[in-house]
Amino acid sequence: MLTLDQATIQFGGLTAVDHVSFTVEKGQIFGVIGPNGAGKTTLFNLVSGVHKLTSGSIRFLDKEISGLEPYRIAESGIARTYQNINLFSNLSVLENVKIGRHIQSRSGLAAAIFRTPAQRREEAAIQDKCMELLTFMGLESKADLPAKNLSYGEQRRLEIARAMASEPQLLLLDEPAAGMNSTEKVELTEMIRNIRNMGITILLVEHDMKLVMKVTDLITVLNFGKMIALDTPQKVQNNPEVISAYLGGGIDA
Amino acid sequence: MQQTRKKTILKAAVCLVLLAAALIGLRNQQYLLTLLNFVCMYMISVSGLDILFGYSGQISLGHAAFYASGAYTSALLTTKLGVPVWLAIPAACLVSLALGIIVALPASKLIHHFLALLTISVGQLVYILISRASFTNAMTGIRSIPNIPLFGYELKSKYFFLIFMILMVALFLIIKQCIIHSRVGRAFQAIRENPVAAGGIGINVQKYKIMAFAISAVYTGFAGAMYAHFVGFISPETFTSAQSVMFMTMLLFGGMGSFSGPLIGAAIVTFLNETLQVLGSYRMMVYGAFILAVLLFLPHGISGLIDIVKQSLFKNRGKEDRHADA
Repeated sequence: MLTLDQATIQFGGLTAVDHVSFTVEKGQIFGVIGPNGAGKTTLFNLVSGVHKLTSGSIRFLDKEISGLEPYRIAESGIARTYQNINLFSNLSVLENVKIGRHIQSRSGLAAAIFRTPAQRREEAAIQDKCMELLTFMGLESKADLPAKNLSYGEQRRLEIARAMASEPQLLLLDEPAAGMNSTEKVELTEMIRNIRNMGITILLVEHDMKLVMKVTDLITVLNFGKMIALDTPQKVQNNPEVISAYLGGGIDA
Repeated sequence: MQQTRKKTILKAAVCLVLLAAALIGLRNQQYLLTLLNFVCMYMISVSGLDILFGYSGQISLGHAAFYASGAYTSALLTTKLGVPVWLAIPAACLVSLALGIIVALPASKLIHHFLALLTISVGQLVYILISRASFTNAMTGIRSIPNIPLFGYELKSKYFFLIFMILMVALFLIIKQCIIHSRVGRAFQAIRENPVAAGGIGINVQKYKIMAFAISAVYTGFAGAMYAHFVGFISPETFTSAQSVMFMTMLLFGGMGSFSGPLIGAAIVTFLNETLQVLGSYRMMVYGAFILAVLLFLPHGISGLIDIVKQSLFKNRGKEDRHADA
C-alpha cells in the first residue's frame, strides 16, 4: 500500500536518504532500523510530508503523495508519532485525542456557533470514541490531566492514541519504546500487535532490537541513507553487512 | 454533571441579580456609565484578540486597524450614505472580516516576531490611510454619527446603551465559548500548542490561522462600530498603535486563553487608566510598573491568580473533609 521508489533527499551536500525503494503491504508490521544518523527519521518525515523529496517517488494507495502538505497526507490515511514527543502539552489528555479526530469529523464554524443537532451528535461521538481509545491505551484515568503531566512512557502512548483517533490505514511509529521501562515495552509490543489486528498497517522505527525482532514481519536496514538489507527479522540478524554497520567493519571491509 | 449544571445556573442567577442591582444603583452616574460602556466595548474587542492570540497563538500588535475598520465603516455608511444603523453595523463586521482575511493571507505564513512586525505595520497602514484620506475627513474625523435605534427608540441615554452593550458582551462571549469548545476551537489550540503536530494530524494550519484572524477581526470591528455610535464622533487619534498596545495589555493583564481574562483585563485596565489620571505625568510610569509586575509574577494574568487562589481554597477544604472522616 506504500511504495517508495528511489526516494532521495539531499540537505546541501548531504544525502540523508539515498535511493531507497521498498513496498509495505497491507497488514504488515514493517520495521526500519539502522545506526544513529542512518536517515530513519528523515525517511518518516518524507512519508509524512514534513520534508519534500529531492528525487524519486512515494506512492500511497496508488496515489503520489510526495510533495503534498502534511495535512493532506494525514487526510489520505497516514498518521504518525514523533521521536521527540510532539503533544499539545498544555491541553488535556482527552483534548489531545479529540484533536486526532479532526479529519474524521466535519462540523465547521457555523455549526459550532449555532450548536446544531448534527454538531452536538458529532461532539458526543467524538467524546465516546476518544474515551474508548484512551481505555485501549490504558490512559482513561488520566483523561483530564494536562498532557505535560504524564510520564514519558504515557506520553508516548498518548501520541499513539492521538494518531489512532484519525483512523489511519498506515501508522508510522517513530521509536515508540524510547524511554519506556521493560514492563511498558512488553505492553507496547502487545499494543502494536493489537493495532495491526485492527487492520492498520504499521511502519516502525525502533532502536530496541528485542521489540523489533519480536513484532515485525519485514525489516529494512538503513546505513548512511542507503538501504543495505530488506529481509525477515531472522535473516537480517545474520546479515554480515548489517552486523558490520552496527558494530563497525574492519578497515579493509 | 447534573450538579455542576445546577451550580452554573445558580452562579449565573446570582450574577444577574448583582448586575441588575448595580445597574439600578448606577442610573444617574453619568461618568461611571460612560466608563462602563467603554469597558464593554473593550471586553468584546479583547475577547476577539484572545481568540487569535490566547487560543490560536498568533500575536497581533495592530488590532487598532480592525477597531478602525469597524468604526469608520459604520460611521461613513450612516453619515455619508444614509445607510440605516442596523445595516451599517453588520457591514462594519463584514469589512473587518475582509480586512482580517487580507491581513491573514500573508500573516498565516509568519511566526513570532515576523508576525508581530507585520501586524504593527498593518496598524500603521490603516492609521495613515484614515488620517490622510479625504473620504475619512483626515485628521478632522467624522461628526454626528447617529445613535443606535432600538425598537423605535434611540439609545441616547448612556444607561440604555450600557444595557444593550451588556447583552452584546454576553452574546459575543457565548459565541466565543461555542467556538472554543468545538472542532474549530480545538484546531486553534492545536496550532498554538504545536503547529507541526497539528499539520501532522490533518489540520490545515494556514486555513485555521486565517479563520482565527477573521473571527478576531469581526469581534474588534464590532467593538469599533459600537464606539463610533456611542461617542458619535471618531478621529484617527483613537486608532493609533497605542490602542493596539492597550488591547494587548488588557489581554495579558487579565490572562489570555481564558473566559474571564479579557473581561477582567478590560475592566481593570480601563479603571486603572482613569484613576491614575490624578498622578499627572507620572501616570504612565505607575501604569508601566503595574504591567511589568503582572507579566513577571502572574504569567496567566489576574484570572490565573484567581484560579490559584481557588485551587488552594479547594485543597484546604479537601483536607478538612478527610479530617472529618477520620
